[in-house]
Amino acid sequence: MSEKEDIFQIAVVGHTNAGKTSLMRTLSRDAGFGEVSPSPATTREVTSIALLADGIPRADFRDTPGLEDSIGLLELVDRLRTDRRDDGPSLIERFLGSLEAADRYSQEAKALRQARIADLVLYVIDARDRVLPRHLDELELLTRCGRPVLPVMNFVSDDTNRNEEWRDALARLGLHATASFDTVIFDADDERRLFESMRVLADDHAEAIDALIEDRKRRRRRSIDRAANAIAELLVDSAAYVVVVAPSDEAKDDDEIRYQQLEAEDSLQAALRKHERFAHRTILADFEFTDEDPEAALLECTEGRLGIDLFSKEALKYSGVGATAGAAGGAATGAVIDLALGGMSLGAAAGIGAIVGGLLGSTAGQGRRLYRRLRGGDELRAGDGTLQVLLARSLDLARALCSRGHADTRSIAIHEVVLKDDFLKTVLETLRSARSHPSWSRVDRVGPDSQGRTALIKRLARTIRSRIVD
Amino acid sequence: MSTPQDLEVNTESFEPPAPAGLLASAVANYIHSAHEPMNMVDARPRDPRASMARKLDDVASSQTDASAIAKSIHGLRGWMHWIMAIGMILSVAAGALAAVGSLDVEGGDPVNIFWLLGAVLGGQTILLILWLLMLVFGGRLLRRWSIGGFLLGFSSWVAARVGIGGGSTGSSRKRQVQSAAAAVAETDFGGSRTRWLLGTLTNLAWLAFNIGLLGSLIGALYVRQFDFGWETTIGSDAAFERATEFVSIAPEWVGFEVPDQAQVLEARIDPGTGQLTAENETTRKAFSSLLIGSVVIYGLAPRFLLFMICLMIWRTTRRRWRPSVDSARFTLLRRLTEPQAVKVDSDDTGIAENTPPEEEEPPPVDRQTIGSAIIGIELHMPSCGWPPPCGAPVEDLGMVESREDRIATVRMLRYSTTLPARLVIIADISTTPDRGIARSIELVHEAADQPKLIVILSGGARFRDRVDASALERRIGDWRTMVKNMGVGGEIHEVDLDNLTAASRAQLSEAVSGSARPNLPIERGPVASIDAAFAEISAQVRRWHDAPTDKERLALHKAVARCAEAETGGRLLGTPTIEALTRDPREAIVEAGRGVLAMLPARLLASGRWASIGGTVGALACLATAGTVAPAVLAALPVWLATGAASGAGLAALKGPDESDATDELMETEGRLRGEAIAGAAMHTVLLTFQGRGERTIQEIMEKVFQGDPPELPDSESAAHALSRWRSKIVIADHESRSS
Ligand SMILES: Nc1nc2c(ncn2[C@@H]2O[C@H](COP(=O)(O)OP(=O)(O)OP(=O)(O)O)[C@@H](O)[C@H]2O)c(=O)[nH]1
Ligand SMILES: [Mg+2]
Repeated sequence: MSEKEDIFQIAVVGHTNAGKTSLMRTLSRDAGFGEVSPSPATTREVTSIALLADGIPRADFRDTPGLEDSIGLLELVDRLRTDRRDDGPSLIERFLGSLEAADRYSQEAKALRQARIADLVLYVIDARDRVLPRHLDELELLTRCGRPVLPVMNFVSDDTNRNEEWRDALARLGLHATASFDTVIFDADDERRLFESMRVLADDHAEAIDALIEDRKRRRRRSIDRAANAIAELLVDSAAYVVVVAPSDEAKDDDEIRYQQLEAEDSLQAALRKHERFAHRTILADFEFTDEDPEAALLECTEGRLGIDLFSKEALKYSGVGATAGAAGGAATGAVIDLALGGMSLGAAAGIGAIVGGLLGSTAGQGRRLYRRLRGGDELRAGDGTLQVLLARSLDLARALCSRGHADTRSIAIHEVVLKDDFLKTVLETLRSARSHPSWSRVDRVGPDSQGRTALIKRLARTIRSRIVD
Repeated sequence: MSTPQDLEVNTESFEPPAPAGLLASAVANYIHSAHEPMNMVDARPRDPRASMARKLDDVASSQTDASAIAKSIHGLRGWMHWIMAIGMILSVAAGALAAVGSLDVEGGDPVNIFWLLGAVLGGQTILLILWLLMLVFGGRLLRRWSIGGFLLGFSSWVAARVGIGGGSTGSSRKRQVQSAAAAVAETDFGGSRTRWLLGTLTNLAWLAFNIGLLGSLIGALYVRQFDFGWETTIGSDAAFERATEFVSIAPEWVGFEVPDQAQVLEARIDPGTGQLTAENETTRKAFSSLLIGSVVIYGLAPRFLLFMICLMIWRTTRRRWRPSVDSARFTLLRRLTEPQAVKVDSDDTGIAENTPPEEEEPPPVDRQTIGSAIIGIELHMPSCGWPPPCGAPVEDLGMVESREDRIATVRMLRYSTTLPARLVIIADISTTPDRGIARSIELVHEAADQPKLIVILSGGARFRDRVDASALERRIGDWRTMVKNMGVGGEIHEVDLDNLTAASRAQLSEAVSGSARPNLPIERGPVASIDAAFAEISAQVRRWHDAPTDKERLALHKAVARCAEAETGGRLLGTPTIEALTRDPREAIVEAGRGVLAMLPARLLASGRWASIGGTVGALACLATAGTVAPAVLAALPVWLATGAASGAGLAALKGPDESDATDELMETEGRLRGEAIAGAAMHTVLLTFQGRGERTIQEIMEKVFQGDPPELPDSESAAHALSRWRSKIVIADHESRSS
């Protein structure tokens, strides 16, 4: 197909272990791409991946085996010169056709073959290395391929990097355009600059590169938006979540009551843990990471709070009684529901309750809670401390992922970040309205989203987003 | 173009239920409600340009249990259709009963037509008006009293009990049904669809009611004869006439027969008899036709119309429904629809032709193997300096990095009369043991005629800072594998030359000498004194902070002279005596410079920089051998050095004016100053070592050793490299001069 010929082709070459495959991983946002290891000659074959912008393949990046014996190879290539007029590309072609290219230098041949046909060669450098003769020989070989070369310095976040030394050495070779791009500590600006440098050297493909830059910018913004949204949802769900402690008349003695409470606490904890895990997985997916469970301590929420202020302004407004009607109105609703259920115990009424509750919508849900309270039952829910932990951890995860390259092979560990007081207060304040809407919680149920929930999440997400990127 | 790969395609392919996005929503619910994180099947949308909802459906249909969930959706809808059907049957029956009840089929009295119309149509008309009011004003209320919630609660409760959406068992089936129900509740009943669905259902029920009504009315009228009449207590006849006329307008317009004015009057029930004033066949027909027409026009038709309208609006809004893809539960599916990169098959074929590689010349035969030789390969200059303190005399083969180094070392070994019995390679552990390194080692090892190979890995502490313990193990393992693959056998030791301790020193000397006790010293002629001098230079250079002071330069040359003492007395031939120096320093310095310059080959003389180095060497050499130097002489040192340099440079200016011009333009950088000082010391060493050989030989050796421009040596590391390079060149040059 003609499109294949036209697509922007980039050969990623460099010494073994310079991080070529890592670069591929981070650029393609695919942590499963190829194989990455600190041993030499990890990549043995050319593997190609097309970067998409708006679903359209725009650039074909090719990972190549590492150059290992450039000194020996350059010596060989020099020996292949038979004529004064032999130029770099013809020498390389001669080498690629030689027996050595299939034998001792087969790995190098694979890389040089790609460098020969690519529109642009990315020369990946381990910036911690000294500038050694072998590097200069590698660059010499690549220059002889006759394609524009863009040196990309990897490991630049390492303290022991020798960026300046490298820039000097490269400038001496006439390579003034360079890019710094750490594949493990991701920096969106560095990535943009990398693409921009590529555009300078491969002007024919400026359009494709611009599309990629734009797409990446958009995606990043969206990733952050979505992560903020996921955190907001986690908080709203958890704040609204309620575990019912059975009415006390069913329990025979204090021990049993205590036991019921412990059970309720356990189930609250288990449900929130599961939900947190789901949220973390969501945040990972928002940043294109998959199937990794981050390492985090299990959520402890023993300070779940019993009871709820059913007669709060919010609760009453919601039950349709209106704030002015006062407590009497609320109690009246409860009484009506009590009548409707004919004094049945809660357990037996569960089936019917579901139907009636559904029929009457959430208003009746409120009534049901009143009913439960009147009958001496209780509710358990996560305290503010738990919400704080949930917020601090998911925020930490989102922040860590913002600057995590897909080449990072270390597992993700989640810590609790220290939250600013005023921010925490704002969030908890915002969450207050969720407290009186158990039906908003998606902790252990699914259902259509109500407008109130959606609006609250949106508002909260805005607050949280500003803390992911500050 | 590249084709996205479907890694795993669900074996059952099925059409997702409408509307687009419903299945995705249900599957998202299902994933969300899983107890353990579900593994996502890495599917891709069939058409990347399709709508988001469709793409989501595509990837959702490949997920685990998707087909069971789709079945649940169909099942739930089936259930709701059944419920509707039952409701309709009940409504038809209710309509029929209503007709029968209000017609008073048993009694023979005339039927009050207005009473009857009021009974069958009045109630539903009032409800219709109420419903319309509700539709217009009751938006908020309707939203709260969600019929969706009811249907969802009820249907999923029933469904979970009777087992719709079969397939798997237990709680996962329940979850399937619940997820499906939640999604259906949103698409079919959620949002504004609640009121339109409610409208559809009520109107449908009333439609059914009217059908039942109409049916049983027609039936009754068919099999029995009714007299229709009207009566009034306080109303006027005229009013009833007008009322009848008014009611008749619409049915008549449609084509129903309606009673005319006379017939209406005939139907007046006589208050005395309770019977009609007059009744005949046509009047009866006219009234029954009006009755049926009224039910059709005022009951059935509006309900049918409203039913159709509500249904249409409901269908449209349902079609317009879009899943709220930004919600967290969609994230895992959404990711699959927005791939950022796709793998491409690549073609990498190489055809080999025959160009045999050149054979390297075989090494000379019959050489003595003795002692150990060490060589640094791509070694970061260790803080203990080069060569490292091995505790025993070893032959220093220098540090190898470039192709030239490699060739030089190999040639040196090839020409040397003795060969090491042990070859000690020192490398950085942070260096990846790749084929390039292996090749360097192999070449040197071969040239040395396959002695025992020992690899010492240095820089462990630096490497450990960078990586974790497992990486270190792995790296040592990689080195071991590399040595093993070379097939020559060999040992690997880790000794950190940057942080030598007593223990690691012992380990180093044991590794180098092969035993705990040191070897006997080896007689190596001039090379020994060069090694000693260079080691001393390198040690002093490491103590420099920036550009060397004149005193430091002098110290360098004193060290050179001291090292050469045993061999040549340490005094450069032709340098003036101390007496001459104190008598007329200027003259003596110029003299000394000239002595050195006489030994420089033409190329170096032509280069301003080398020439000025040569001149300075003369000055420093004569000071270095002058024993204790008077303070006055020391004070005048800068002037003397300048004089020496100037005399050299002046000479060069005569020989090659171009180059000296260029020299003046060069910046006096620190690296350059250090480089010139070190090159001077090296030059002094060469002159001292070979001065017995005659001017020509020395010139030849100098020619071969000091190639290019004097190097810039900004740090001790580069200095050590330069020295090691010069050293191997000296050894080769020496060998060549002796064999020619
Ligand atoms: N800390 C850090 N480690 C990196 C970075 N880039 C690569 N690495 C690590 O370096 C090692 C080599 O990376 P690879 O991506 O396999 O290198 P490669 O160039 O593909 O190597 P070959 O396939 O063998 O030629 C791996 O252990 C990576 O985890 C980086 O920017 N920072
Ligand atoms: Mg690789």
